[in-house]
Order: sequence, then C-alpha cells, then structure tokens
Amino acid sequence: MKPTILLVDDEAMLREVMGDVLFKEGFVCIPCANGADAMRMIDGGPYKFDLLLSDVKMPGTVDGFEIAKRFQAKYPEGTVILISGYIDEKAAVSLSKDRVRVLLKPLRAQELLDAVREALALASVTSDGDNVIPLDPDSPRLQ
Amino acid sequence: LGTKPFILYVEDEPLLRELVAEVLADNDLPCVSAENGPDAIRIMEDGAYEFCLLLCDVKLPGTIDGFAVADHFEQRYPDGEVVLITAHIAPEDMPQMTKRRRQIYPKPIRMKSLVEILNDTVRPGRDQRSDASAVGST
Repeated sequence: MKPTILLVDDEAMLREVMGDVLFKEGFVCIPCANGADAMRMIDGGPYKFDLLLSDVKMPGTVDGFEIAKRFQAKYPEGTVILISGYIDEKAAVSLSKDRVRVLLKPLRAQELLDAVREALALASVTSDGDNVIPLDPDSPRLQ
Repeated sequence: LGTKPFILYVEDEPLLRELVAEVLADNDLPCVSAENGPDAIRIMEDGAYEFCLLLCDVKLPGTIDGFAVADHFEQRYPDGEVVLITAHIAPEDMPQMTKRRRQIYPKPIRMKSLVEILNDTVRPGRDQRSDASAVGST
C-alpha cells in the first residue's frame, strides 16, 4: 500500500518536480494547480488521500488553509503539510498542531522529504494502493 | 569515464533548485547548482567542473541577471550551450535573447519538456565525445 499525497501548488514546474521526487520516494502523488481543483479532488476525485501537501498562497479565492479544512473534514486520520513564504516562524509553530505542520519558505528538499515521511508515519494510511499515478497534470484522469 | 561535463543550473528558489537538480541527475543530466549570478560566476571561475551547458532563469536576485551569467558562461565555455528560461520577455531584451545560439523558453516550462530540450542539446556533443573515446580505446 503506497501512501497517497494530494499535492497543491500553482507553480507548475515546482509541482511537477515535487511529484517526480515524491514518486521516486515511493509515494503516489496527485497534483492540483489551484485550490478549486484541490477541493474538487477532495470532494469527488477517484483517490483516497493520506496527506495534503499544499502551498498556502494560491491564485483564486481558495487558499491552502481552506483546502486543509476540507481535507481534514474528509480525512480526519490524514495529515497536512502547508508551505508558506508569508508567515514567520512563530506563526508557523502556532499554526502547527496535531496533524497539521506548517513549513516555511525557503525550504530545502531534504526538509520537505523528512516532513512528508514524518507526516505519513503519523497518518493512518487509508489509500487502497490501487491509485494510479498521473504525474502529468493534463492527464485525462484528472479532468 | 568520470569526465562527463556538467550542466550549470542557476535558480534562486532552493526547493525548486534542489528538486530539479535531482530530477536532472535521474535523467543522466548531472548538474552543479548555483543560487544566484555571483555564485554561478564563482563556480565557473573556480574551474572545478567542466560545463557543457548553462541552464538559467533570466530573472535572478541581485544585480547579475541571467543574461550577464550567460555572457560570462559563453566567454569561459565558447563551445557550451545556453538555455534560458523567462516569465517576462521585454522588447529591449531581444538582442540578448538572439545572441549567439542561446535558446530561450517561456515559464512555466514542463519538466518533461525541459529534460527533452536538455537531452537534445547536450547529447550530440556528448555522443561525439563517446565516439572519440570508443575509437581511441579499440
């Protein structure tokens, strides 16, 4: 059973390389480019998720915090990692609780991978292992 | 044979820089990363690596932008290739973009496309070098 991550970032290249590297680490990674897509994926997508990994600042009206709320409502046993370049360390610590962790930019790749591994160790992995890996955001499976 | 030339990759966003470097390495495109213009120039001046290609964002923090890094690279590695990525193409930048045989691509660029571009650019020179060493070794 491979842990499944919902990855939300509006920066296309970053989203893609994060997906590639997480896949190489043995995780199934489903990418979304914005909050609205992420909400749709949580509500009605074909996947079960163990971890939400999302940028906080997102184009449009839905930010990372709102995605996290929806994710936690649907997956109470799941974990959340939010990445932000706009809050300070104190705020990040105060926002990090239970199954939510806030990481600050600039972020090192190793720091991210360590946080993902820790978060997934905490999550009760609910994915069924049948998830397919459409790393290509244009994949028809994501339409 | 341990002499494979590297790509010099310049990107100021650390997460993107590290992850792209990892993906490039996985695709047999080893690179040395720099976080800004002065860092890139220092690496070139150190001379510890042989570079066949510069991959660089045009917009970099500080006073040295991607064009200036490319100028330096082309001076130091006249046979090297330059691939620049940019989100903003200003008309006044056109002379810099068409200089020598620079390739310019708009942001965002798909990682798959970037790997293909780099492979297409790097492989011919690399194949020539392998052919030469194969001839020499027989």
